[in-house]
Amino acid sequence: MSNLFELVNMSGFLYLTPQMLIMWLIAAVLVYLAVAREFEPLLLLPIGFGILLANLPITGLMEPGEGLIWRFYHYGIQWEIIPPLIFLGVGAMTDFGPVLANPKLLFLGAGAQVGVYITFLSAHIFGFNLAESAVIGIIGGADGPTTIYLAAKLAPHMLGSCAVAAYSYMAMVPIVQPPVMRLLTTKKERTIRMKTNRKVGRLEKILFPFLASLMIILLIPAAAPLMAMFMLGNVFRESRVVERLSHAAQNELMNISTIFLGLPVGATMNAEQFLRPDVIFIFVLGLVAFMISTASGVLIAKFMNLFLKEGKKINPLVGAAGVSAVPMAARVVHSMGAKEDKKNYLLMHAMGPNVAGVIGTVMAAGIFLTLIQ
Amino acid sequence: MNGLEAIVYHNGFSMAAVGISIVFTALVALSIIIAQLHKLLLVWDNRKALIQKLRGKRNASEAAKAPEPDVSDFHNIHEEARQFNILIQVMGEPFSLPELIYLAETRGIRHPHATAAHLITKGLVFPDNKGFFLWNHEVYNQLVKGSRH
Amino acid sequence: MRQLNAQETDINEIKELGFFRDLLPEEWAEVYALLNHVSTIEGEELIREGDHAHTFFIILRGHFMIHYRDGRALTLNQRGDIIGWSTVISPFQYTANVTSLTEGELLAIPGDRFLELVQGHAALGEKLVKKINETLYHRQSLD
Repeated sequence: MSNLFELVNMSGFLYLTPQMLIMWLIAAVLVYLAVAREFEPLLLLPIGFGILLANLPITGLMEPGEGLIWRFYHYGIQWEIIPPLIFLGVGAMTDFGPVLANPKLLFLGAGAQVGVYITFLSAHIFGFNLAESAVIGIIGGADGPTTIYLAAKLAPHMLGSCAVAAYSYMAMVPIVQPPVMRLLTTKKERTIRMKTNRKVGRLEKILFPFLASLMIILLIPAAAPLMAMFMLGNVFRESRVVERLSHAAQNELMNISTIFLGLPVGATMNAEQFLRPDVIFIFVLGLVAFMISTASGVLIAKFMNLFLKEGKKINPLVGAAGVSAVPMAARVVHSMGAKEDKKNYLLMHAMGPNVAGVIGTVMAAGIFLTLIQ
Repeated sequence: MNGLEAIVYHNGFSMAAVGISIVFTALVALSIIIAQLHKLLLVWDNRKALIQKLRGKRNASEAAKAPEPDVSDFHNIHEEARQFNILIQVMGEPFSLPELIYLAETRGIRHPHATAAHLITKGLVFPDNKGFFLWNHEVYNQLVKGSRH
Repeated sequence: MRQLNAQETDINEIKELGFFRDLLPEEWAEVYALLNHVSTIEGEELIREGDHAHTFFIILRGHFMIHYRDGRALTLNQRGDIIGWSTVISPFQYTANVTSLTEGELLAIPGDRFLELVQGHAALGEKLVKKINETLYHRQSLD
């Protein structure tokens, strides 16, 4: 009988708290969104499961120095290994052709970073410290690995909530962006057809990652881990002599990294850390950041059109792809353009600012690290 | 300390201004570099022709003494066919179409892709049904004869 | 008789392409909703071997080269020819490169939407996959 009591005492049931049950619900919502709605399932599913595991009592999974998931978290995220590996894969999947063919599209990637800085200031007004504000601001870049990377370095206690916010908004690009885009553009602007880009040569594509690495890393050394891996992945892709490495970076490595990113990120969200009023602020400000980034990209495109000749004008919808949710933002731009004019194929044009947005967000994160850390 | 006061105290405004300026400057610089990159590569690809052109100016009189091979027979398709024929002779038959286009591109032949399509349409280049291509010598000879008459 | 405007003429012409000819009106409506017009320039890389199969193409105009890493190639220039069957066949990765040899015009269907359509509508899916198989058979399966 005493053994039975001991067994009951050692089980987790007695240690469950109402807060843990609320976190289970949150985990269930994320899992539902991933499975039923297919919202960023690669990340939201392991994050959801990670939240569930983190809110099971006396498991010790996140026990510093001992827990299994803590080890994933410590060696993968705190040691800055996994986000750069994800960037290696992203680089191997990225075609810089649209940017090289039409370099002015890079400005749109920069334009979208305005939202990051406006939100950074707004978060600071609401009482978050500089480091926390920077992490909230970077959500506006809609780049999950960069958000996680920055949060792990500047505000580890906000890692889970910021990562979930970033991935949720990335998943909700088709819901969040179109109203902003429609509000800021006229029907005539949405039907602007952009000229087919020039052909980009192989050598040009090979040289670009080298030049971009040199320039950006020299300018912002703190952006080196992410930028270096991003461009290395792209060199693998464009050199066409290491297809195996390129394939591994795009597939096996990317998939393994994704598993070991999602699970520990979710596991950082225990009830004490997550069920706080400021987390609601993080989500609201993150959404604001994302909407401002979308708006600023569109407005910058409209501004550029003031100086561009007829026939060379940019469809302002393309500016919204300056947030770096690749390739979802570009697809949303394309489908909005196609709704107005079925023959208007904006996808490739939108991929330009989309990849420029990735570069812009990494630079913004590097600048925050330099100025705040 | 909250609100604007906190931002001012922590130099938040200057941080944001510096941040956005650096991002813009870097991307502007990058766009300028890549806007010029393909022009530089074009010059590099055509370096031999450029050097010849420069030398040609210096040695205009010498060039007059050593006339260029007679290419007056070839116009449009004839000239394209002649250039591709030379490349195919070097490559051997059957040849790989993408390799032929690549060779043509690196030797500065203009519009290598469209030329290949043109030659296929005209029947000068035809597939061997194993994924490689052959040169139609008969059609080519007729073309050359036709252009001489 | 009603005069067809340019867009309606386009629709009717496209509908008559071999790939769409056997579709019922309601099936055609579903496919048509996914079609986008794309133009290409000479030398443009349309598809890259190993990439996720993002788009299915139907040629309207132009000359295109499908080429493999070992140097083999075939060219397509017939209106209605298709490119990008990997969008509906596992592992959904392109097995060849495709380059536009001339300026061209194509119809493009986003790969994931096309796959959804093929998998979600048994009769329509069967018709489309049958057309794709016929095309592949005629190309003598270079890959």
